[in-house]
Amino acid sequence: MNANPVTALIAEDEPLLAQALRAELARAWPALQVLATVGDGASAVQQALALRPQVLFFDIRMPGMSGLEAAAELAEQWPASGPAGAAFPALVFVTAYDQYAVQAFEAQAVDYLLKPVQTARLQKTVEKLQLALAKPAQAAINFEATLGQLRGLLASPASAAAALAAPLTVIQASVGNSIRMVAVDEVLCFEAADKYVRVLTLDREYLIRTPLKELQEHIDTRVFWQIHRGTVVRALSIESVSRDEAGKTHLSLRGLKERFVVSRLYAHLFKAM
Amino acid sequence: MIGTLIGDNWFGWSSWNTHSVSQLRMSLLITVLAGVSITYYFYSKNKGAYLEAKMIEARQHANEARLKLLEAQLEPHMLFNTLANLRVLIGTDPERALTMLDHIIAYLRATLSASRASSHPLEHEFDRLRDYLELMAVRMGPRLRYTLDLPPELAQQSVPTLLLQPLVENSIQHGLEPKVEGGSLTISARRDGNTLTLEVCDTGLGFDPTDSAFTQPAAPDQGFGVQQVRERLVAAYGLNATINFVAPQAGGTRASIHFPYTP
Repeated sequence: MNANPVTALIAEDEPLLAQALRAELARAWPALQVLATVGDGASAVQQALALRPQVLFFDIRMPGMSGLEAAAELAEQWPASGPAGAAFPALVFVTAYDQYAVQAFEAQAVDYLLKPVQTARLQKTVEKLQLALAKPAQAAINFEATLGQLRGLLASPASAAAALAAPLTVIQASVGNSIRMVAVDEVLCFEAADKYVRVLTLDREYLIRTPLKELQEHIDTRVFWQIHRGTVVRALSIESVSRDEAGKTHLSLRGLKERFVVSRLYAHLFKAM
Repeated sequence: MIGTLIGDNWFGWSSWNTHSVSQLRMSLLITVLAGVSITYYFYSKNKGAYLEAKMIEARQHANEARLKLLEAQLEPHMLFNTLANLRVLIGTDPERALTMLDHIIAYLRATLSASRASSHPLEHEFDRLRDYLELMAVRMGPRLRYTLDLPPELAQQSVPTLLLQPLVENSIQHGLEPKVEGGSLTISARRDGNTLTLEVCDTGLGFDPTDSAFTQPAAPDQGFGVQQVRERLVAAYGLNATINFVAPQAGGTRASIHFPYTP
């Protein structure tokens, strides 16, 4: 076994539950060192980057950024593996209600706990974590598997079927006092920007108020690919994709000068055949 | 008539000529009467079926609304997080656990029987809100501060049961719970002349003024709680009640309900 204790971070917005999880973990895994407890998603990302724990316990429903979004953001910002970078932490989601059908993931990289946390179930999680941490060579494979699962969890399950049944054909964008009808066939990219979504066509840019998440439920995901949390692009208009020295991936669209960031979560879409 | 014509040809004499016009009128009348009564028979039969279908539809609608209300009040996140907190307190602070359990019981009892009694005194309304807010205060810790302000002289005023509950739940779920630093919630009652005013005011995230749930009288699927409050106000006070939402300068949401004071 490693001489250094295993470290963890807890993110849970309900103070009593955070305190209880800490106490339960102390009993189930005395050697585990909890570095910090935070109450919201943004602090979870920030503390995880600063403290580099090996295990993360993330509540799913938290103020500001959800546990799922925090995990995805962390995966984005986690330093690329190499001599300098530590392995991506093992993730355990904690939730009161399994709306994500998390049981399906029991055998996989990301574990989950249902609240109230039962002692026997926590023991099982601890054993699984210890097993995973004993095999550091697996870290890279685990990271890929974790990314895959996060993608699955973040995708809205109803979207694919609904979008195929009745795909959106026209975007109604307000320009001044009038409404412009923009054919979806002409749209190259949807990009979330603050409270708006930018709709880019070859020659114009429109702003609409419908959230990107809602739009995605009505557009064909085979035509429009998600490349970032806030960016969806027309796949057939992608001109080139390149990776810089820092490991960041960018792409450009035919006819547009702008370059778009491809998140790590979606970088798997662009591998040479 | 076609039958008569055929018959006339067959037998070689005409009933049109030999019989008086009155007889023809008679046979016409009988035919029309028979036709009308058969039509009426089928019409009423279908009308009965139509009314029955309408009634079943209305009953289904009412059941759906009740189920939706129950689902909203016994929301799984709320329920399991509350139980998780209770489980912790049983181990660490049994006294507080007992108090919390009593609030859970009162909350559940009120929620499950709210559909039966149509109105209760304002005092009871505030007690039920306190049960809910006490549960939320345990869960949210210092992130939630709340004040209930009911002048004693208004305690016996009658209100539809759990009228304010959806508004308070909205303030918590959409205003304060998603706000990192939390905030405060004030629920108050006051009398201005002949008008009774109930207010739910929070310092949460606030609402989007363009959200139709807050501006239009009934927007299906949006803001089910708000829509439900509107419907119950109309049922109880007709056009004498109003509800409006304001986004104060300082942030948050203020919901105000006005209806006639009963001396």
